[in-house]
Amino acid sequence: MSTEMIHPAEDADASGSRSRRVHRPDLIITSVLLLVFIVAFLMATGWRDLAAYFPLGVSGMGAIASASFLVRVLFFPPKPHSPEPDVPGAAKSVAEQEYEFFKNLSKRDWITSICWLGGFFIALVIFGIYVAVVAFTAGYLRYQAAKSWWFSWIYAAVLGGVIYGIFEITLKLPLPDGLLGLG
Amino acid sequence: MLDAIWSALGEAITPMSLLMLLIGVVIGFLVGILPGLGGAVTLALLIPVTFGMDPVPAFSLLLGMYVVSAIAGDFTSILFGIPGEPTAAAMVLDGYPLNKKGQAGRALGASLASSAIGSIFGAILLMALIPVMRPLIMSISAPELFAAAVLGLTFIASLSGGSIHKGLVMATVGVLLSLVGIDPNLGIERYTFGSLHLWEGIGIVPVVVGLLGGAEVLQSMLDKDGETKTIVAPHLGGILVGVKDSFRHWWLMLRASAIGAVLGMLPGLGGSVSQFVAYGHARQTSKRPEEFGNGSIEGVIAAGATTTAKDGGHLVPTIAFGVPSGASMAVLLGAFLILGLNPGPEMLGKNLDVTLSLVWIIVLSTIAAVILGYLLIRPLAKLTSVTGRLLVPFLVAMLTIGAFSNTSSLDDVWIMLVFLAIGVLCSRFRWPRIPLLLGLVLGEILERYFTVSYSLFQFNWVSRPGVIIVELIIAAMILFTAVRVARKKRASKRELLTIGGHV
Amino acid sequence: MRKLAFGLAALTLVGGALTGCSSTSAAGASTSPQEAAAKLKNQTITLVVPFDPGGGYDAYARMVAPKLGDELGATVIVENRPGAGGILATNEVVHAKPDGKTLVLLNGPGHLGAAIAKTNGVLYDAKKMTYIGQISSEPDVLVTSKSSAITSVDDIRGKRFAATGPGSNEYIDAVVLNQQLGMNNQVVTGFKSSNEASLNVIQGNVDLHSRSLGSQQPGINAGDLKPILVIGENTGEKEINGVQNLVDAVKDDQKELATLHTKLISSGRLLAAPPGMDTGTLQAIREAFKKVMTDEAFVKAATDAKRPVHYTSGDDVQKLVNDVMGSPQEYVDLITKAYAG
Repeated sequence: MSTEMIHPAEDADASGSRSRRVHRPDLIITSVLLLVFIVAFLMATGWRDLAAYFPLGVSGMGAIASASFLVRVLFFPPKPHSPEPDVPGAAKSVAEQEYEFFKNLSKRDWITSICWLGGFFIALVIFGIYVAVVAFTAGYLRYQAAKSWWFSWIYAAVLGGVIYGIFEITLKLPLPDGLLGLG
Repeated sequence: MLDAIWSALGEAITPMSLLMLLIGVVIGFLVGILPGLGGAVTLALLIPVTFGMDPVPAFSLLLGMYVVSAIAGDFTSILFGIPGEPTAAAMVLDGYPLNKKGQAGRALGASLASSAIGSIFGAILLMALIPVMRPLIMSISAPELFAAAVLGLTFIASLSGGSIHKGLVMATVGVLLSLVGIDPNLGIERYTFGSLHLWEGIGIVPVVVGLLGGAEVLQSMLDKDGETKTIVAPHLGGILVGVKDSFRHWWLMLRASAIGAVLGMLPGLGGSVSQFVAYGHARQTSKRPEEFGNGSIEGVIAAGATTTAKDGGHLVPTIAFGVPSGASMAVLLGAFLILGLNPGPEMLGKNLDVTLSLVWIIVLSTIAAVILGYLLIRPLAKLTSVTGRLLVPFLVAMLTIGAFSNTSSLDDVWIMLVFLAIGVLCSRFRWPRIPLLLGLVLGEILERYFTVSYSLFQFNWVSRPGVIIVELIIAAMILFTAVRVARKKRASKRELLTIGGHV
Repeated sequence: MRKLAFGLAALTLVGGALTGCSSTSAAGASTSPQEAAAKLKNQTITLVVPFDPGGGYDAYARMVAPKLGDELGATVIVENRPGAGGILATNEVVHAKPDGKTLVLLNGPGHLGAAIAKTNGVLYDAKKMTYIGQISSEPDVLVTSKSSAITSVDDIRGKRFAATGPGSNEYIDAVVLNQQLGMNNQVVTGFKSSNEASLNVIQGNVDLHSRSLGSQQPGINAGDLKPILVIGENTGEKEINGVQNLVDAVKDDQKELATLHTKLISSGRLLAAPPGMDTGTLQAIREAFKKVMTDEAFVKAATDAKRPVHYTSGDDVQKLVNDVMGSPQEYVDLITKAYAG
């Protein structure tokens, strides 16, 4: 509709020579979703009447919607848009900016971030929230934000302290305490 | 009646009531700002405090806290892109982009102003409905809820961003996800894969936090030199600009308030539906729909007004029949009973003064929240100038705690992470996220109330008055959109001809 | 590259710790109640509520927790762990250490019903759990709309029941009534909450609804609902004074099952702990709980707050559990049916 004209819905890198080629990410995502809907449909066939009608309908509809989109992706790729004119950054839509931001990241950026996040959540499971938050904060600020150890540890202590104060002392609400029960 | 209204005000401004109100407002702000920590849990924690109090001071504390938490929830959405409450999800869509553009002050100002108007609107509606409350609720049952959910579905198109087809697929995924859990009719496990945690379905809190907030956190982590944020010092004068914006769009603000309040009256619909209806409606009727999602002030106003207007609406079935429309209202209902108040005719007769003072409490706590919020906006808006990476540890902790506190279970943290991944994939490959959320919220309602409607009335329910009203609204909306699209197409064709095909 | 290396290092470091550490602790030998009580002093005891905040269970837990804490000289915090109708939290609690620092507030009928029906997901043996005592017990009350033509239990044949879903207390009641009164009434399910089901009864969309007295009282007092039948022991409240009881409504050959069902309903809200608690600790906690529940000021405050308490000792609860779990096959089949939908 109107927004489609403002920011073309399909990949911007489909420039001149590679025009009308199949958009791979969409192909993969749509295929996965189609598979999910088919599996969901098959699972729903195993249930009894009232519990099955709605799931059958929804997964059936989903399968049709994603299959038809798959057809669109495969056989009717959108016409290549004229390469983005020099739109100044501020005029780009936020979705567009976000899309370009994620697109321009290197593999290493992704791996680094996922490792940090993964480390945090593994620590959360084992040592509980306080150790995870303090260790993650101090480490992350020191090595990723290039702050001094002093700053990192104080930030970590304050953050841990505030969480403790709010949840443990004031509200008495449970937080993850880890396999070792350090919470 | 007028006398009763004034004497109720008198009760609401006794020193004890005002003190409780202020305490409630401060707690509400804190609770609202922290994602995941919802009004219901805090209300439950506060109930023992009210033992032995008179009804009006007790409700000043409880209701004051509750009303303000909705207002403050919007703040987190704007400042960090993480919804502070599930009802503040729509606020992320435009509030956070405005922040990124360096207009956090303006967005906060607009949200505060529209929340205040919405809240007062809801309170006035509550008061106006007192004489007809019981007959009104007597006519609302499953069919009306089903019709309202169908109305919600019609907004998928306008919430899909670029591609309606993708939006449709994502909405269906959402509906499918809403089916996870024990089915309401036969008690069969559906798509639970042996996990007991999934028996009660996928909670909205971890989904909202992960889907909307997760992508933002990852962006801050990956952002090497703060390039995703426009480096403009927070425009402090923007607060008043935002307030003025709200009143410039007063008609939208009132419509969004009405949507929130009316949908809020339907017990069982839950607060997270109306925000999307109001937001979708604002986009459909806007002169600049392309701005939605990119920092449209209209989007902020619609989302802000709806979230608070619902509270007045929520109280209607609670007061009239003791039927709460959500977890928070269930706790408040508990408080009614503890304080010796019987919902039903008594609240509209013998205890009318208490009901009326509830209206005043909403109004007063809103005013207090506006003042407190206004004082806090400046320091809070400064937070946004802190570079992304410094905020990362804080945001990661908020995501985790927000998801965990849903049911005090790590399983919810994992669900949050799954939706974080989905959210990031959506941003990376341009698939719309919001239809997924809408589908998840509506799916359960659609199935549940369709089967209940059928069990109760077979198909006779299609001609119930409430259902017919909703059907007419849906028809009018489709017509309106069709006309608009047709007109726009003609206009843009003409434009293309004149500028020469440049978009 | 350096940042990447650190990211990886962070991951492996934490991952390595997973294999390196493990917590072990020997089970304590049996202690005297005095020693056990001393051990619990100044400790934090978690009282798990297997339901969302805001319900009756949550309210009872938050009412009892501080008093129990005072009595034991410990801090008792309430933790909501909703899921799977309470089964999830119960499954978790049975694996906690029986050191007195983990307690759970059970929905008696739901807990025992699920155990009798051996429904999916139940991973505990209800008989082996440690019972501290009963906090409250109230009968279920079957109601209809004030304007309904139904006046007594003789009129309910062919009418429809409202219920949230299979396995809920209200659904079990409907199935039991159908069987015991030889009816085949439809049960309309799918209501989101029991309050919503109740509203539909008031509206006249459906005829009958059975749930706990405490939940029915506001509707009866407001004049929207009228009581038809009491299921469970009539505790004599004014709302149900003189209302017929299930045990008297059934034919003689059904009396035994009706009595069993009365027992199940009257199991009420139970305070329990993980299985295998040593006798000293158990005695210490049971004593403290008894003191709380028999404290006049507490009982009065609870009644004022519309949360009446009903104390039964842990021993008696254990007996009741054994009775219900040893039900004849006929009753087991009935309850199983009520869970299968």
